[in-house]
Amino acid sequence: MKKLLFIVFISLATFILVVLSVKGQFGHPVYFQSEKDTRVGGPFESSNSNSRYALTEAIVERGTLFLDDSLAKFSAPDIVHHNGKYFSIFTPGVSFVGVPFYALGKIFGMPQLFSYSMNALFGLINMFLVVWLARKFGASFYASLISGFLFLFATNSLAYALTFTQHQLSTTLILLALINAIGKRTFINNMLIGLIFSAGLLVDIPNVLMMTPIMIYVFVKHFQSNPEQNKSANFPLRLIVLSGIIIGIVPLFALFGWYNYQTTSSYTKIGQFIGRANYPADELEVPTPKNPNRILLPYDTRKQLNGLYILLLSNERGWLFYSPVILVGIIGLYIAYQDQQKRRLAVLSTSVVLITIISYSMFGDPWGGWSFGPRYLIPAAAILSSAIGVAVAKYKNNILFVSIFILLAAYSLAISSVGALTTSAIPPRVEAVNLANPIAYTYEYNFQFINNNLTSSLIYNLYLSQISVKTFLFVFYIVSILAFIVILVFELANKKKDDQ
Amino acid sequence: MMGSGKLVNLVKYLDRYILVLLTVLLVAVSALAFLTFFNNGLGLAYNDARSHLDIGRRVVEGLKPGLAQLGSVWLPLPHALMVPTIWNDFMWHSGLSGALISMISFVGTGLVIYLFLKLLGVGLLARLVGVLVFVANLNILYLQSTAMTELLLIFTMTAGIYELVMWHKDEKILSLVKAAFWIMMASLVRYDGWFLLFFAAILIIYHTARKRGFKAAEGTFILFATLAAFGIVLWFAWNQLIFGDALYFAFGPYSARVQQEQLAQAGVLATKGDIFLSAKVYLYALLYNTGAFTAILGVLGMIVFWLNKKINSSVRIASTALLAPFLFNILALFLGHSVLFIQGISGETWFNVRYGVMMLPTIAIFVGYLVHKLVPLRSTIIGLFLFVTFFAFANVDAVTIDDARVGSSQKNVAEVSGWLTKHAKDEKGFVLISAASHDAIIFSSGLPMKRFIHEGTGAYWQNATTSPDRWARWIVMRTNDLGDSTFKLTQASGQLEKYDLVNSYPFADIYQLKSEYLINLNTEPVLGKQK
Repeated sequence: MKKLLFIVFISLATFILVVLSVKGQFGHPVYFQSEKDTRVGGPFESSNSNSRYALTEAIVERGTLFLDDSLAKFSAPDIVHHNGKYFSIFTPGVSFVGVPFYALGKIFGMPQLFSYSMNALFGLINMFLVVWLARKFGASFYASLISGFLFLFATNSLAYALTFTQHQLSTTLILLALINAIGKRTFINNMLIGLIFSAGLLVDIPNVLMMTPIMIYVFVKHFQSNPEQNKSANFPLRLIVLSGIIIGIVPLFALFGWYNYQTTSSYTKIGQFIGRANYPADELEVPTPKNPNRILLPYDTRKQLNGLYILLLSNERGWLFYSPVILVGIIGLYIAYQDQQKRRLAVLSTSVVLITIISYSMFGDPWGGWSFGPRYLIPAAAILSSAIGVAVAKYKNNILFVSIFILLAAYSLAISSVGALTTSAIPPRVEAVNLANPIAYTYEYNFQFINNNLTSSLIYNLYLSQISVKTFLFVFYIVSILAFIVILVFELANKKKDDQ
Repeated sequence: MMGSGKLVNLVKYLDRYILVLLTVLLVAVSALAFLTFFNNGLGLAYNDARSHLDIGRRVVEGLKPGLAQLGSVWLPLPHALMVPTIWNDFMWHSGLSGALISMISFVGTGLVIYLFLKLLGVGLLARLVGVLVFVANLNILYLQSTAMTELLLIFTMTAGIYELVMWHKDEKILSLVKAAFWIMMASLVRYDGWFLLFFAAILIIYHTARKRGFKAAEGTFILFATLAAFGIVLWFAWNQLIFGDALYFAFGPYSARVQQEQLAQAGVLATKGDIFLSAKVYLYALLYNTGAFTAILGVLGMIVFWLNKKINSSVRIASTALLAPFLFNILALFLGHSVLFIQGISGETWFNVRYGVMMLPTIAIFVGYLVHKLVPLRSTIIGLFLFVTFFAFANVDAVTIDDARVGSSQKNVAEVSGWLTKHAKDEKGFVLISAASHDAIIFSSGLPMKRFIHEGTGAYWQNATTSPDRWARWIVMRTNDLGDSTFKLTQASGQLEKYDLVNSYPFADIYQLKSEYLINLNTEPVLGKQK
């Protein structure tokens, strides 16, 4: 009963916080539903959301994969111009998933709000997947809840749960793949992981890379002898079970191929290989290689040093500045690694975290354009968050650890809150300082919004504008930190060693 | 999957023949890399590579051949090792004479890394990973294909440290003697070796004093230093004998000190006196050469190694010698004895960024150790390393190549040397030129060394700089640059009016003797054998 009440309380607090952070403005009844206003702080402030949303709208409103002139202008420069038509440069997974949400929202005259709530929903799902993963790591019930809560509210996950980007959906798929991978290898499980893998590709191409360690692990697992039975399953049977992966992959791969064919006239050519276009399409932004046969590689090791700095340590996007509490997860992974039972999961999780960080460190744009925090590392943040619970469960009686942990969490919650309630469009330093009117390139920019009494919160703009934004932020922050403290207190008071 | 028994047998088989297999593989990789860089012309891109080859060639061919041509400032071993092969024109002009030494050193270093890890008790897979980290590095593959001195230095230093660690483990005199030998060799390649000698001496004294007291330490040190410091003693003696000043290499007109003074005056020696900047610049050089991810793995491996109390403390202390190149380079930058430009930190160009590659064997050894210790994470570490390395190769990410192509280490002297090839090749007469300033032109012209009168040709140089019209049909120099000794001396002779400026290029001007003065020109090496 106590646990049930506790879950209700935390769920309520979570729901309220998420609803409070949904972006919007007063309109008829809500702005942005038909207005393609790209103002900073609005849902359309970033072209990577706009481009995906535009495809969703095109599918529902006109039954087409192509963008008309107004949608192309709205989505530029994240569009492709090919054979006289415009389409989104991104893979269509997010847009496809958004279709039913848009369609439902259209009924109520709020297609944008409903579409964007998709990511908020996945944000909540991810929170609970992180809790589940933390339990798999051996964290106690309350410690696992800390993991989930901190992932959503103490990282830039919340900020991106309010956009129409790929990060929440990618995180969901990667976490599902991880949880599937540690399960038994049956034909159904293999089909599911194949489906998840191909869905990952459809949502965002780098997901393929991030799931590679998981897929390799799953594949190899089929050929390891079963220690319980002290014999291996026969080889043909293993192959049949393994084929489930292929069967799972095929449908969404086929869908992707069909989408490519419709847009580029080739099953294997994707929009990103053609390159970005402006609207109107007068020039390509992606440099044409001198040798047309040379592939433009997405990763460059020369950029790695700077990339690692930007993603992990810099005040522009680094974890150290935006959500340092994440780093407690490293301790948690180490603890899990020491446990024979949890070691495989710890190693697999570490592999996914590392491939994410390393691949994006070599990416040409580790900043992720105009963004808030290291948005490309959200899936890695989810995994590390799940390990936080392990560390908390182990060291909860250590005053020094708990003190530092609370400080880190409080700081991370504050930064995440201000990001979610203002804007996710912070420019990289090199762009910010060269603007006609230079702006801040850290979360200082978000605080400037607050100081100017501006917030992106729909609820505030509709109902609470009589109070100052600072007060609103303060209340929001207090609710989040209170929820965190309550969970932590329950964990500290929890005397059960292994609360599975 | 393979049964565990079969796997054990395979491992035993490999362990027995692995050195042979590894040697064959390393030789193949080395040859392939050389052919690649020979074919694309990058093997001779470094200005210094051409100079090294010319120095070796001057010992065997020229107006005053002999060992004295080994010169000063640059230590003699790389050039001395070229002597058996560089008499052949192809070996000289292809760069193979110098590259061969680098290639042998490359193979040798790979084997030493393997043996080093074996000495530390590391398993077969991890040993091979250590070797792979060293081999699968574009900067190493490039440098080993050139007549640069890095690979020879890396090989001799790593071998010396290996024997030093071996001695700390088994305390056999033979290991100490071998360590002394390799360190002596390193001290004759580059001055980094002198620092290693100093570092090793401290380790030896400390180890022996701790175990057997100061008297024993003194004796052990003398035994070690007699051989290890022999090269340095020889070098002082050489400078005294040939140049009349034992410290000519340090303070002479062509010394690094003079070069650094010029740079300091130009305001580009920012690292001098600034320890933090020196450390930062060298760290960047290290990271660019080894790769950020690989370097991080190496540091983690280092920490795991040094915190492992199961390893003999003497071995752990001795292995700190692996950090000698790191400490030396920072110290050299701090003292202003070295210069290193990192694009983005020291301006827009690269210079001497290859110094960062000196730490690669250290990184490779510690990565191998990390793989050995973290058994469950092995696949992850190896997989990620291969992933990053793939993109390093695919992007041709090699700062040493950038330095050679577009950095300050390259000199595109093709115009000057091309003119000489076209106009001087089939004509009689000498070319008066400063080898100290224009060795790259000498090399690239393709003309035999005996066509050139330079600082090392004794009486020819003295005569030609006082009466150029009698000895030099062509003069190649940077006009109005007093740093060019040819200009400095011929200007004083007052004979330049007898020359036409036939062409002016970015690196040098070419003067040709006017036809009316050809009748008095010496075109044969009439001065005979000089002492």
